[in-house]
Amino acid sequence: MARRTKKAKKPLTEQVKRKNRLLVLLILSALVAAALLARVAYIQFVMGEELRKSAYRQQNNGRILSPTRGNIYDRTGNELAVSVAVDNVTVSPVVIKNTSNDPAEIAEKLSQMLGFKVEDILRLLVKDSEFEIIARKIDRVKGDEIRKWIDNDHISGVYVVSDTKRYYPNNELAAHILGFTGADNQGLFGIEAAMESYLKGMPGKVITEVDKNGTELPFAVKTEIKADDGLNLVLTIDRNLQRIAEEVLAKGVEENKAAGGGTAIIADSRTGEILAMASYPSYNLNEPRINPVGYEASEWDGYSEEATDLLSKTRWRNESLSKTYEPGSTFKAVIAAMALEMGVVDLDDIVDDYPVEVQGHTIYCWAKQYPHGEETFREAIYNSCNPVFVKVSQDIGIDRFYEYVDLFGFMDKTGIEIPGEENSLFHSEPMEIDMAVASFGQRFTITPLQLVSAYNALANGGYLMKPYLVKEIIDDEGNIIERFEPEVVRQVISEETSDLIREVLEGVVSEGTGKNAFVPGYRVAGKTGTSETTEEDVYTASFCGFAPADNPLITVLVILDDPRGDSVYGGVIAAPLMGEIVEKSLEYLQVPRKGDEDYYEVQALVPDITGYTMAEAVSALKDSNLEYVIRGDANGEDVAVVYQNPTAGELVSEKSVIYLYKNLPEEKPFVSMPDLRNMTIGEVKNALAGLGLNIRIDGSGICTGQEYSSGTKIEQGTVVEVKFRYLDTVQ
Amino acid sequence: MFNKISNVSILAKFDFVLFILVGTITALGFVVLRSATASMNTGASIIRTQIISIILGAVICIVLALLDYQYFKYLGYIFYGLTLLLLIYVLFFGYGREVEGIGSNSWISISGFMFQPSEPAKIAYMMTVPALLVKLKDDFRISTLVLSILAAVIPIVLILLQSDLGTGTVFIVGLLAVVFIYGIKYRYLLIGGVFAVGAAALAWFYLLDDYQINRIKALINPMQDVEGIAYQTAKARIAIGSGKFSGSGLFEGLQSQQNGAIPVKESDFIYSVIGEELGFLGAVAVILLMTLILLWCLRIAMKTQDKYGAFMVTGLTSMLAFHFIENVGMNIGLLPVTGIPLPFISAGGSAMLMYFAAIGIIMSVSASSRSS
Repeated sequence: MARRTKKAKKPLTEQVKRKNRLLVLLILSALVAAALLARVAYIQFVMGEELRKSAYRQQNNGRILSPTRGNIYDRTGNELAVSVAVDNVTVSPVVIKNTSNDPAEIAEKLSQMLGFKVEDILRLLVKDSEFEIIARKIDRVKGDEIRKWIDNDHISGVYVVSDTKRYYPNNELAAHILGFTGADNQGLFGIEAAMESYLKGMPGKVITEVDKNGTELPFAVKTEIKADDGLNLVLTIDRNLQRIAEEVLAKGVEENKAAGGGTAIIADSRTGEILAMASYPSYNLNEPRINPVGYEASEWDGYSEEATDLLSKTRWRNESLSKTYEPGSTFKAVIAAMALEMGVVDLDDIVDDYPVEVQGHTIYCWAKQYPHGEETFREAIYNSCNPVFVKVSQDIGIDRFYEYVDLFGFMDKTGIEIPGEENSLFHSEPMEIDMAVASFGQRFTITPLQLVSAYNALANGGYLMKPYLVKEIIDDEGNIIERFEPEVVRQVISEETSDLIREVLEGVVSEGTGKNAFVPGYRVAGKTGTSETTEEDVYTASFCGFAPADNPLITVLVILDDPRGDSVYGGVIAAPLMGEIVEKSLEYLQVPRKGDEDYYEVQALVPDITGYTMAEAVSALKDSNLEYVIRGDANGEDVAVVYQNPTAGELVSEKSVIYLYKNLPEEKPFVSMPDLRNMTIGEVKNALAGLGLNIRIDGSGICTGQEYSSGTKIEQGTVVEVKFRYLDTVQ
Repeated sequence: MFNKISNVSILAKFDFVLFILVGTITALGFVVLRSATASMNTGASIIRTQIISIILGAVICIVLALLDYQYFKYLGYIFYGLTLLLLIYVLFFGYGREVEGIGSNSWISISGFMFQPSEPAKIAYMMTVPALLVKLKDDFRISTLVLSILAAVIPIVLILLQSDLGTGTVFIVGLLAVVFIYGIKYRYLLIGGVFAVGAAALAWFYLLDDYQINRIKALINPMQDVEGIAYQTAKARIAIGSGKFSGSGLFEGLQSQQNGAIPVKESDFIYSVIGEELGFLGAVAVILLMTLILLWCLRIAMKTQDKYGAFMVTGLTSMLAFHFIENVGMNIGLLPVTGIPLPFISAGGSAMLMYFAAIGIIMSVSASSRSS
């Protein structure tokens, strides 16, 4: 204390000086404080508006506008996959908290409109968050209802955002080609996945003005950055041909109890365009994750990893390109082509099918007990004699043999758009025996699509075409953005060899083991195939061919995997299916039938003659080339027809007999169905005519099945479908 | 040791004005911190640390206020030596940049309790450097000058070596203020200024880390690239801007209650939370309260006749002032972003203890000038 006062006197000026300098600091501090104040005021009042918008934008990063996914059409413009407008309902709990609306009331109202539990909605509404999803992909009608309520009751914090949902109008049609989409409309399988970048489009955004609390103003200006919609695809698929392939395949698999399902492909022989590609069993694209047979719906979670795995391996799998199989004798057509191309043999050269020994293994003809003996090479192809092909392949030589297999495209994936394509499996260093069995299509595996490609080349003058599914990419106005043209991979064989193969494969159907594929009026060419798999007693029955043989339009392959029915032979069970697909497809494509009219029955449509007088009825039936029998006991000129069988609109063969009734019979005349098994077509026709029944003939050969089992009571005039097959043509 | 020379009672000498001002801003800060950390997972533990620090700080403050600050002249040297050792230790074993993602390696962890040695170093520095300057003023010797310069520069160099530019600047500003009060001639200041500009230019090109340069660059146009280097300032400004006059209310700020919207909202950017939730009123209140505290402290420095007291108060006040101005300045986009917290408000134990210790020392000087 004393010390301080003593010192204070001496440096008085020093203390004043210090005080002055402190004053400078003081003023400086005050100025800085003032500057800070000014800046805060500037930010909060002048920049505030813009900053609050930034703040809102920051909170609303999640509110995006989904683009509409592009549609998928078939080659004729039919919709295969479309995007339907739906709505998502979202809320901002924080915004709701800042408004006068009672969350409980909002929850109540939303639950009424959406049919959800009030508690569930309320739980989301009172959450401490910026963004919650209440409902996804609801009907536009419901969405509009909620929109109206938001506008009328000035609700803030509840939003209805438009979205789209994938819908497949044809359900399971072309399921394995199209694939389907996930919850966010992203393509998961098939074309949907392969063409994702074209289909998906670019999302947009909504930015809305807010009041001082950051609450959206009910009538605020909304800025929308529009979503850029996805592009549309036109596929090479034809919806009608796809349907034909699927229906025929389904029938074939069911009738022949094919445990492994089946595959059918229709391709344009000239261009490689895939017109239809079916696998059976299929699935409904609108419910891809539904429980498969053998699983309880209540215990099934289609979204679980195991389920997805299971479904990917089973019904989602496109067997045409994701499964490999041993092609069996269908491969002989390829061997024949390379032999003819190299000139190691001519069609009319004499060969024999006596057993041949290769590296200690003896190879016999399938008709082991009664070999065909000496025959021309053409006959050997008709008869599908294994030893002949073994010898021919030995003449070709092992190096050239596999070189040609490679040239036909069997060593490479075809490069089709769909993901998941498998490749073939050959011996890496094949020996003589490997080539010998390969010459009749055994002990190597290929995909069905690879075989179809090779057959296209056999049919079209020798050109291996790259198979493809996407024809065009178009915008919403239909302008073509991109077009995919047929692509020649290489010419494998000469036009001349192709001509010879077309001729000889037509002979297989008209005279050889492929008779069951015969279609009256159409020139069908093809080759049967029956292969044993590595599992005992499990066979693959197939038939591959093309039509018309003189100018092939379509290549068709049908495969039945592990048939457990009456027969396992491709010539018996797969050939008629191929024939049916060819017949229906060419009819649809309006290819006129040619040749001997005796081969096929002319169909007639039964006219509606009920109510006609007898004279009028008789004349109408004569016009339709139909026969008639009149029943009943009324007389007179103006007696009308009260009842007819077959009924109007039914498709029957010409000369079928129509039963006409003058009055309703108290008891319709029933007859007992006979056993037609093993009868020829003529025998069956006579048997049925005697009973007053009409016939519809399926196939030719001897009777292997009838629509009604023997002993069934059926009404006279009824059309009975009877199946005929050639049973002497196997393998 | 207590100020027994005085014949005035302890209560009369106690600077209630300063104590109440500091108490008020601490209370306000605590409430805001509660709100800022409400949405954070670590919120509860931050609050717990803060409560402990405030109580401990208040005790330290009162004890220091009742002590005769003249003892710090001598105790300061020991304290200074200790903190110097810690600063060297932290250079080699410090935490931060790699582990916690903080800008600099300035932390020491003692059995899980993290603290920054630079905080006690500020107090030790402002006890020691003024003492040496008083010695120099009374008896100018080259040896004392050299010693003073060494004592003044070494801690700054050590801190800059930690890459902690912000804290280094705190020391420099404190030192400049003390030198200014010392009575250095203006022309020396001018020469020093020219050298400083040259040094800054050198530092920009050779010494500063990229993150430090980015922070300064971000100042120039923070709104340009919201996701880039200006991210933090832009976010902070968005929050303040949405507060308007009275704010959204505590616990109601859309930005403040959302994790990730405001960066380091419990500490570096807590002023943005104040801006949004308490609006212009709250933002101004903090500036006014803090300015009153600073002016009051400078007034104490002016009133005291003792050089040592005046130097010490000026140095500590300048440090606090720099904390305050830099923190608010970076929140409102006037100054580059550094890790400098807002005094009495930001979460942080060692910093809180340092502020209270500083206030305690200033109160002690205030008490002695009242008793004279």
